[in-house]
Amino acid sequence: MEEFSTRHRRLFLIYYIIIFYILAVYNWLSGMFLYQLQPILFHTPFDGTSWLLMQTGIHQWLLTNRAGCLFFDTVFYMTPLTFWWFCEKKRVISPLLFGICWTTFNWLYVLCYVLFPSTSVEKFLPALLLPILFATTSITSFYYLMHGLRYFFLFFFVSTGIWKLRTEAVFNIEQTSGILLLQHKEFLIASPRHWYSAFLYWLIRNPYLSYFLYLAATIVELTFVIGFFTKKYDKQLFFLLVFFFAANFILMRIPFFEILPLALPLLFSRSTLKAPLQ
Amino acid sequence: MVVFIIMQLFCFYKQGMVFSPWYNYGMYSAKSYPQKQYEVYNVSYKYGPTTRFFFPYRDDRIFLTLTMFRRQESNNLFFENSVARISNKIGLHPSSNRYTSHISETNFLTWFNRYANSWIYPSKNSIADYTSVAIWNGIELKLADSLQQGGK
Repeated sequence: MEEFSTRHRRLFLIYYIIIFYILAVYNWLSGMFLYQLQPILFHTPFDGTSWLLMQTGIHQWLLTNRAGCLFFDTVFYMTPLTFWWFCEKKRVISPLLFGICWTTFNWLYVLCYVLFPSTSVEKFLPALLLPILFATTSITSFYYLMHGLRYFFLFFFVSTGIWKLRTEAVFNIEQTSGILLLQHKEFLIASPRHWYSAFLYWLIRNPYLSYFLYLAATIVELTFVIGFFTKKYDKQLFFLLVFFFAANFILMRIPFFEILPLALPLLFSRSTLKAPLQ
Repeated sequence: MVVFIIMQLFCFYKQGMVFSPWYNYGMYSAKSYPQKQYEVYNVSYKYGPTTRFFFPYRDDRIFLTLTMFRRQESNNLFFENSVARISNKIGLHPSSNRYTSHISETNFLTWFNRYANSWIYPSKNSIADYTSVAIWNGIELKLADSLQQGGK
């Protein structure tokens, strides 16, 4: 088995940066940068951590403050590249110091961002958690933290399947028909003759067929439980996840790809430390 | 690890309140059935359906903004009913102006019509003009208005 080294750490960071910037371009084209959202109102989520942040009033400072939003975007989107340049390539700043600042700022950015009409906070889990991983200075800490995140990701994905069992939604034949109507109602009304609407109507009118897709999705989610027992299939799980997200985009028009960096530990988990902690 | 498990179990137990980064990952796990009627945002798009298919966030940011404005009052009540109540229990006293917003419909629409202009034709004069009722007849989703006009 291959030994886990700084080469893996560097590769992990590069993969993260590539995914991050591809998604950044997509988000920018979608008008999802903070300065493009031009927030003038916010909501209060049922999130204790957000409540603490809101008490500082920083989210209100961003309202109608385009320069402030642009500053937040610049820092948020430049940080991964800056980290790579100063901490990995030039090695002039301590990853620990940079990582602490990066983590703090990302939390600030994300928790403010989701208060405005944007998207769900779950998609930002990699932005909340991965800077902590990059802040590690030793390869041993990186290795163990990366495995911690691997379990976190597995738990996250498996629990989505467990919830479907617990609510018994997975036994509801009309589940997908109901979801598709709710999710795409505006699209169906605006473009009833488009090929995508025809495809959706075909699924909605055939509840048994569409139910099979929901069942398959639940099975895929539950399949990730394998990762708790063995790392042997981690790469297959990663590519299954990519397929799952692509299928989700086609069927639901929900871009879940932001979560992908959180699954990166699956690509590096099979390498072992030379001298593991006793 | 122990902290992580305790926090996650707490979030599972509460089934509503979360503490970032501990969430309940449902992903459409609530039971869903086709309804006879739906409230829909009825807008005229500047782009074709294929472009809209690839950029769902463009729709989301428009519809979420409208939804958030329409829920402004319930959000403000949420502060009284949940934020203040729960915070007071643990000795914290949050100030309401940090958690509530008070934007008038006129001000909102002035801003929104400019904001949404890059994606839709925002020519509506009230929030109610953006919403319609759609009827699901088992075959197709149709606007209730168009069905009434067709029946005349």
